[in-house]
Amino acid sequence: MDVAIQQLVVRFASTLNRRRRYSSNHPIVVAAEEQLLDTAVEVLRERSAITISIARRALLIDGTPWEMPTADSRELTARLQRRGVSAITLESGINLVELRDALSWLGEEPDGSSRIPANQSGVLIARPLYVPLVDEESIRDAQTAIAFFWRSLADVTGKQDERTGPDPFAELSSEYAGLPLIMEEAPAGATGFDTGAILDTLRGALDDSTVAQRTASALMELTSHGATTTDDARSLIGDQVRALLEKLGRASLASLVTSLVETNEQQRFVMQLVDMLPSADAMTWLEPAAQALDQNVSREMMAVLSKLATVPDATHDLVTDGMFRDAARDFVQSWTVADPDPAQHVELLARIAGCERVAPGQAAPRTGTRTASIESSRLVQMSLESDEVGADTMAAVDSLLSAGQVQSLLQWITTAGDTVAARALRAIATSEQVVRQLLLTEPVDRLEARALLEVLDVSAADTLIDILADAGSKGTRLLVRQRLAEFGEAITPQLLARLDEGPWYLTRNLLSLLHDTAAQRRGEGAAADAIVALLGHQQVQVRLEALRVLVGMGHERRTAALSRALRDDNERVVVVALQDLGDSASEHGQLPPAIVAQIMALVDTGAQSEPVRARAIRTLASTRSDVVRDWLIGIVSRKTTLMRRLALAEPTPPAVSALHVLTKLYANDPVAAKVMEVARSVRQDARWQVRDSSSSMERTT
Amino acid sequence: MTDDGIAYPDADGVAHSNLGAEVQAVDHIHREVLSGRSIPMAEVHGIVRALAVTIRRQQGVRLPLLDIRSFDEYATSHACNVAMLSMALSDQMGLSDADTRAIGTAALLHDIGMTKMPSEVLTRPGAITPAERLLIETHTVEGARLLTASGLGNSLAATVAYEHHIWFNGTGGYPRLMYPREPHFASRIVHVCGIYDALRSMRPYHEPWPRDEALALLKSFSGLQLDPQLTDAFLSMADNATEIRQPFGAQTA
Repeated sequence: MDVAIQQLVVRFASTLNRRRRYSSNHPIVVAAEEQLLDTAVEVLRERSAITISIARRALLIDGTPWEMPTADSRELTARLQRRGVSAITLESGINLVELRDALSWLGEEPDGSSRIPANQSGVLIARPLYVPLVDEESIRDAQTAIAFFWRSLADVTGKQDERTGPDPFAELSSEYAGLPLIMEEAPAGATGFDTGAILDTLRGALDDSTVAQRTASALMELTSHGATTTDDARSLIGDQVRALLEKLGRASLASLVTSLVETNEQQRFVMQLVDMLPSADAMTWLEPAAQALDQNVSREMMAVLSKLATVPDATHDLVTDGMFRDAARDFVQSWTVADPDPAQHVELLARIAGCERVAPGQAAPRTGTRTASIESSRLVQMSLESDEVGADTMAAVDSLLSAGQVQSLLQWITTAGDTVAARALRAIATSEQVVRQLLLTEPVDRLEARALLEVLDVSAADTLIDILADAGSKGTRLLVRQRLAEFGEAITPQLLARLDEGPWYLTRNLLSLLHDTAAQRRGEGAAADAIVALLGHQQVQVRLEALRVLVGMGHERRTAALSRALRDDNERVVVVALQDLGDSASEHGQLPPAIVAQIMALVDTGAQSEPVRARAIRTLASTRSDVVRDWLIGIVSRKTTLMRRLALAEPTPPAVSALHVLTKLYANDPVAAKVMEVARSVRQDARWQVRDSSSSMERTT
Repeated sequence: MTDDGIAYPDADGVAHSNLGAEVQAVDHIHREVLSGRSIPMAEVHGIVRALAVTIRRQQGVRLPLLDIRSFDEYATSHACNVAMLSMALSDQMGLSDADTRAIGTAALLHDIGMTKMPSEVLTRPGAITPAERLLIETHTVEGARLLTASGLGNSLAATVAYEHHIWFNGTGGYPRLMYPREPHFASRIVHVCGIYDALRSMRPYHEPWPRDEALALLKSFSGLQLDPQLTDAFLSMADNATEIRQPFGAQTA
């Protein structure tokens, strides 16, 4: 529900409360009314009206049940019920006079003659359409629930056939006979059983856990009904429960409570009893219930609760009665450590911080997420300063992380130094969940991401590799890759282990990281085999990266990798291999004979483009061999058709490269003399100049 | 009403403001913490609800507070009084009933860290030494640690325990903040009320201050240590409500 609407309900209740406690012109009342009007105007800015209504004990806002019953909402519900009001509608354009008139009337005690004020623009007050009908219906429902309850106890005690009056369920269709009845099906009327006899039997049978459990369930069913009905109907049920407990006695209560296995069931049972019974009676049963469950009951707590319980009976004050029941509920809930909603505690800080105002009555609240963020920051800072981390701190950290304040959080942690709290908070801020959330939720805040990545160590490598696979943004992948590269060789095992996983671009990135971290120098053995296998990967980018890694390894691996790359059907892979071979030959001289043979075959098959074949030929510029020489001559020359004289072939790129290699290595070789002689004639022919086309192609790939 | 501005309770006042159960429960809480057990929060909430009912029944015209006769009683009476005053001031500031009670809870526990201080230092007559002062000043951190460690739901109380001696604009007081910030609104409320009750109570190093002098000192602190708006609101509240001072333990016998 909208925050402004929540505030409206809270302010409506508290203003009504103040109106009843102070004189109408008291500054507190005036200030509260003005605040309420401000809030109403705010809410009505985007709607023409808002209706606060009640349905039995539930508060509804524009027909939607109020999800967070609080003392304020309960008080408002009680007040509307007391005034016999079913709904109050605030309309756009409402003014202070109209609001005050309505509050004034609502704040009065009903005396039987107070008429509802004539509806005017701004505020509409509505009574229930069928007040008597509604009340009668509730009473009838309660009687039905009670009749159903006794029938259940008759079943439990085996007295279902011992009727003292007509069966109130007889009118139900026979098709339901034998089936457990649900509340809505049971007809109203007397119980039809000798309740005294049932209780006598029950008292002696509650040692049987099954009997006790069924009785406890029946009681819970009855009290559940009471929780959602009118006050009068609740009183009827409360009286029934009180009478039953008095007859059964304290020991029986212990049997009933302990028959329930789950702690939350036990708590619910006790809380429902407390809610249903008149407050003084509730106190009577609260203490034995706690003792039955071995709960620590301080005398002092009982004294405080007793004080609260005894006040309302004297004055019929619904709010004080609510205070007692809330305190009793707190007490019962304290039997476990479970908390239903951790986030609400940070919200409490934020809400009260938002109450700060320029002067009493002149609201200038800081509200919204900014305040919540400030208060989460406060809790985290306090935790770091006092070196103590609690559950609330954790909730605050979550809140900050959700708000994308990782950078600030990490700065504070760093400032705190090496303390217990700083270590604990750092562990949360750098947890896998947080890292994933920050880096995988688009749009990624680069500054926050950088700040987080900076504090991550090698233990986060696996998580970062996951993110490298999952991140949709290239920018994020680059950031993550950069951080992984900074980890250096320490993460080589993780990189190698993940090569076969994930999408192809992950494999490519991991290979690229292996290359950059110079990890390949150690990557022999099984790890290297895994990389070699990637030379057969479906994606050319992966094959290229695998090749880059492998050529940095030892001679044998390198040669095998290059040999395989030369057979690749993708030109880019072949070119990279040729480039490496060329560089290597320039540096170290001869290429291995097997590679030379493979290069020659590559050229001869003509499967590759001319520039690639030219490039392949040039890799042989450092490999002196008669076979290669003859092969080069074959490429460069041809015999004329008529005279069978030696002539140069067409100046294709392979032929130009072949001539270039011949000139470089075999210029003085007698076998090549004839070709060289012919070549002199084209020395100035531009078509025979070696162009760097193959090199430039290579660079672009 | 006496010249001092204190009203002693008439029969009606006693009936409405008997704080015996609350005093004993606060004492129980302190004993629990002293014994190393966790803070019994159900008791805390129960006390605050009972105090809230007491305030409600005074309809804003009377403030039922405790007077102590012994230093040993200070911790309990101070907790109750500051809780009561803080809830009254929160009400004056227009906070909802639920938020007012949350501040009451925080106020009731604001000095819980004192349970970690050596009792001989707290109760020894005469001025405290600088070393003792430094030690006592750690009660804010100790209190925050106790409350932070006590589980979910005590963040407001922990914050107030930590910040209730920090100046309203964050520039002074204690503890020293590693990350400069203003204290929380609730901490500022408890700060004002805490100083007032401390002045009005008998301490090892001073007699209870007369009401007017205590209020005058608050006024002089306004805008320096204390939030001026809250101080004004407190002074206004003090003008409009009569203190009903009951001797500590008188109604519990």
